[in-house]
Amino acid sequence: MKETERISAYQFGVLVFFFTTGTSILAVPAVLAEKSGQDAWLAAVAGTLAGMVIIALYGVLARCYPGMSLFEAMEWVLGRWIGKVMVAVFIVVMMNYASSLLYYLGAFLQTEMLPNTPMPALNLLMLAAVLLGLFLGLETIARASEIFIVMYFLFLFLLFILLLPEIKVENIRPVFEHGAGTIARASFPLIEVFALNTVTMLVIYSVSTNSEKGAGRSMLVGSAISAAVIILLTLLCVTVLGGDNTAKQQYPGYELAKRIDIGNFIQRIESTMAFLWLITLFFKTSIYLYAATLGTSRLFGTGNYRTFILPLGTMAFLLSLTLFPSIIEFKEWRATVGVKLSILSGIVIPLLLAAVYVIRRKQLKRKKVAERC
Amino acid sequence: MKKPLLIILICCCFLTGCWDKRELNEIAITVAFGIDKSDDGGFRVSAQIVVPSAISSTKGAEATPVLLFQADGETAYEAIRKMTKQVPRKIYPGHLKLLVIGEEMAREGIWDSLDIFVRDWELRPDFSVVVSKDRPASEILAVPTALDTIPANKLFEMLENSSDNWSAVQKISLHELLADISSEGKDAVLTGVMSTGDPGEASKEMMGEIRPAVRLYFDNLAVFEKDRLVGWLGAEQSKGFNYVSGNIKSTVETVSCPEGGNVAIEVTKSDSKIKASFNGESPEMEITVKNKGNVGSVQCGLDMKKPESLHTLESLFEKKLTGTIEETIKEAQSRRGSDIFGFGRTIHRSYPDKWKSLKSEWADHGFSDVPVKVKVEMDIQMTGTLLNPL
Amino acid sequence: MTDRKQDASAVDSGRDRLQKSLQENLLLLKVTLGESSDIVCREVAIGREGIPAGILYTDGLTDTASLQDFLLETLMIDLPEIEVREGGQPDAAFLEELKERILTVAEVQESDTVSSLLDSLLSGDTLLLVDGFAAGLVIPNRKWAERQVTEPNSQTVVRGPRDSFTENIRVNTALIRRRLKDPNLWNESRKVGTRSGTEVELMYIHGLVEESVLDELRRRLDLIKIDGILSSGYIEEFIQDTDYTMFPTIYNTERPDAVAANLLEGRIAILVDGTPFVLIVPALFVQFFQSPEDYYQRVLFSSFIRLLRYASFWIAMLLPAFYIAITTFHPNMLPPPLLISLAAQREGVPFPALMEAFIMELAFEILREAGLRMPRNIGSAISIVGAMVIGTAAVEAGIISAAMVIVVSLTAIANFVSPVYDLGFTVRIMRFGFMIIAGCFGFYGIMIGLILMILHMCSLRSFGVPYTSPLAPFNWSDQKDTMIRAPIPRMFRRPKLIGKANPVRQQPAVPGTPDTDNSESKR
Repeated sequence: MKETERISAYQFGVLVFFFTTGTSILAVPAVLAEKSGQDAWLAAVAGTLAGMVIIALYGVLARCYPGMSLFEAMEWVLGRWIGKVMVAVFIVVMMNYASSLLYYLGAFLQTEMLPNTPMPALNLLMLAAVLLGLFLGLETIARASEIFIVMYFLFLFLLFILLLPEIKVENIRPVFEHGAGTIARASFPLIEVFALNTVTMLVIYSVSTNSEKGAGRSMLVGSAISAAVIILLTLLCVTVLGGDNTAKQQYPGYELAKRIDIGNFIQRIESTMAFLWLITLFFKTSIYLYAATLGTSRLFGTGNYRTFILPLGTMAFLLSLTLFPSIIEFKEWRATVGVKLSILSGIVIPLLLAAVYVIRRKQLKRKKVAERC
Repeated sequence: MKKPLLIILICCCFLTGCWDKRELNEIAITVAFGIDKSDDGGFRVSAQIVVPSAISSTKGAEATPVLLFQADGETAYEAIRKMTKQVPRKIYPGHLKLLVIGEEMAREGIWDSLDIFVRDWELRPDFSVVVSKDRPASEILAVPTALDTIPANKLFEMLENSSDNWSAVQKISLHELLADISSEGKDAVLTGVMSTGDPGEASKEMMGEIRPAVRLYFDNLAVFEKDRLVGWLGAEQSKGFNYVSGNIKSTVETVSCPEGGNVAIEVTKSDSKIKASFNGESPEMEITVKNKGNVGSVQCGLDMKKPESLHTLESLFEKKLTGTIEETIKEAQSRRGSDIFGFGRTIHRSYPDKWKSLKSEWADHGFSDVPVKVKVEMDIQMTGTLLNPL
Repeated sequence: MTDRKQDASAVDSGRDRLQKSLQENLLLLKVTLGESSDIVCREVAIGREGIPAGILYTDGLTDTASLQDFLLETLMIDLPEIEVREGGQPDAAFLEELKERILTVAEVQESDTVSSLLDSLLSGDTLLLVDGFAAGLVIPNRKWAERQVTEPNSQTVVRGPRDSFTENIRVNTALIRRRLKDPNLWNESRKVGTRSGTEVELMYIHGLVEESVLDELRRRLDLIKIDGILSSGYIEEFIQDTDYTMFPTIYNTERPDAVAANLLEGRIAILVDGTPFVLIVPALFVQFFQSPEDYYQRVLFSSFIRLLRYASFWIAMLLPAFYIAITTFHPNMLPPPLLISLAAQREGVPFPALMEAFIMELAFEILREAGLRMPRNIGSAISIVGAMVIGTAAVEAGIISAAMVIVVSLTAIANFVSPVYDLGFTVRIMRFGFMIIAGCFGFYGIMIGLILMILHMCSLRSFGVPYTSPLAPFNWSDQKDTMIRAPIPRMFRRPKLIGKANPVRQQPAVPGTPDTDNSESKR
């Protein structure tokens, strides 16, 4: 039943980083600036701080069921049948996210790079990479993440450095104009993508990491670094593009890269900066799909999750093409259905798990001892 | 398990073709767009397109280096697409250098024509925007140029050069313009482009002449209220504006000596600071312009060996510049509602609370009523290679 | 399969043992060898008693001079009297005596099976059979025409040793042992190949090598059941972890110093007789960017060179793909003057950029292969034709744009920077893949291609060690010898995953030891 693959705490941290950074490097500043204008970076600080608390709580939750993945814990804590229902719900959520990410990728590429290439081709290409990764296993994905993280920070560093001359500090003034309430409200979408979805990482939290203590720490460190990146990026967006302008952009992160111009020489490099975002998206989609396939194999009680990679992959592909008729409806979906799914998977289910665990703690411990004997 | 995946991937690559592929010899590289009102009230877009083979050094300049195409449409986008009826290649605007907006169009509002330039994925919003004064943009783009075979390039470089060394005009890129238009408490200005003589008479033969009858030049700043052009600042006032907005990179000011004659002072560095303060509920602005400069040429009997002479020159300069700036401000304030200095934005940034109450009336009378104090400081450092005039 | 079975049955059917009669034995051997003309069989009578004996050797593989000096002379002239038993047969201890007291050669073995005698005979040893004994003596005096130790061809260095391996495995082991006089340098020999009987030796430093890797290697070598091993390439294909990969997972070198350095890191060298290339396992990706010269040059310089190699690797792999992607998908990225000049060059070129690149790359690959396989003395013709066809004519005819020629040449040159020949192949093939995907999807395609490539690399292992280590899994102390090289006195540890049996390589030098510190004041 169990996956025997093991990844190190560092690799887990890197995956957490990629997962939490996710789509935010491209789009989140606009979402934040929409409500809070030039205070978007404050919203980013607020959102990531709140997110870190939630992620820390996930860590606490994970410690309640040592050595078990989220799916196993669901069945262990909630009982076989309710647990299986929860697993199924989780799979549905994960599939939704995986396909929405694929759609988002296609939409971005169509608007900014390849307007005439049909979306199925774009999505299929990314999906092919994701599926190959899943076939090769979590260890391979984790190792690849270690290589890509180096390139990622190289590019990110370049982006930051090259944008320094474009910064207009006065753009962030007046600071704190919108008040705490607005900033808090503006930060909700960030909390959603940054923290609530990170519940998925619990699927590989304990099963796949060498040392659980290290995993808890690297989950925090990984998300903290990602928080720093998000905050810095939002700050850059505000200071370079200006608050109002950031809010108007579809992809402010990409717009930032367009502004790079050092002495009329280093310029026009935004296409290479798209790398940053493709990488995070690749890992995020991979982890969603990995979680979904793992859950499915759990649901059907077969040991090998690889059986489900192709069916689920095909499903994600088709969903990504049919779920959203247009980019506006996609944004609408994110704001309504997406949020509900996040709350369901990121708050309701973990709370349920925690509550039932607290109630049944003694019983469960006995069960565990009995199982061991 | 890996093999079917690979096969799918390879098929997907080979069988699908390359949708977005455009070879370099299939695109029409557009370096400048001009936007005018068409006769039926829509948009008339003119595009200056490069003929690469005519420019490349090996082939010589036999053919015309650029071509101008024109099309009308209800929207600018439509007009650009319609152009394909005349152009054998697809219009490629990724290397756009210059956008010329006709004055007539600008007076009605530029937002509608700009939207496409922001929305289109291929355009990079770092090209310059200028307004053609008195003439339609298409005529400006039709003037051939000598030093640089691509007129748009020439104009762009001229603008850059002149905003660096004379500073009466300003190079404003699309994203700067957008930031000005969209932010509250600051209105936009754009540089004007004009021509000597009638551009209609300009022709290809002219390129052979040493002193062509038609030349393009930049002068004056167009003042906008929101996105509509409402008036022009003259040459001196444009410079005054640039002092206030801190856009002076280098320029020359001539001051008259006390006992007759002139001294030209080169300004090498200029910083300006706009500060808002409140006197009760009414705002006050204070502009401080700090300059550094050298003596460029001396045409009077001032003894340049004495420090006092430099001090005299400094105070003369300060007096002159204060006058210019004050005049500029008066001129701007006489046109209600176009706060080109960004006084409103300054207040907003420093006093966000008070701005809330001022905001609604700012365009009506707030801006024109605000008292402005101007302080100019000058620091002359070098006197060139010569001590006293010959 | 059937061949081997027949052999086995012939040996099993009681004919494997020698007979007492010399004539019968000689006949048996001769018949088995098909009376081959290069097998020399000399019948002599030894000693004063003239005991019949047979000497067999393979002409050309045996040192006939020493045969004459130490065997024939000893037996036929110097042999003291032999105690002869009844019936003219020598004493039972005669063979023993021959071996221990009479034959003046270094090593003599006794064997009584036909198969092992044949084995020795065909390896170049001389057989001595004496009438009346069901055993033969094996006298090793192999000597054959062979190449001298020369300068390495494929891995040249400027500053460093100039010797390279030869086809003779003994010479090769000697070259290694000359560098490592460590009693723990162990050498394990086996014969692989049922017909070729190729000598394959493992060399490793006992105590440094990871035992599990060694066991795995032995297991894989034992699994080989092929008839002939003609080069180390055969062994490589048998023991590598994954068959279908572009990346070499086993390192090979013709430099003894490289082998010695790798042994010191805890790796295992596989020497194959008849091949001047020694295999080394486990091999990591980063190893293919390391040249022995890196350690002979000064540290900053070698670090720079190493970075240059990584850069060339990417240039060789991606430059044409980038060119295609930029010119056909992202002209946005070009500086304006360059765009216009490129567009002018492409004016009138009939092929799309992708085709153009393909044609040029293929033409180059063909020229390169032709230059490699051609008889040496007409090699210069190829370069003239190549330069004319690719360089000038294609551009002047307007078939290919000049920029493409620059791109292809730069790619080709960057390809040659790779210090190990094998990785060059990887790059050459992958380049075409990247070109196709870039021609279809531009940068997006290249990025997906990169993801696929790196995923594949990360899934590879070389004898259990992740191929991409120490980049992934990341390891700080190994970074001292990865992208850059730290000063050798600062490299305290062996590579973590390879040398974990004995990780410490040197103790940090204590600064200010009396030897070096006070030399000035003492004087």
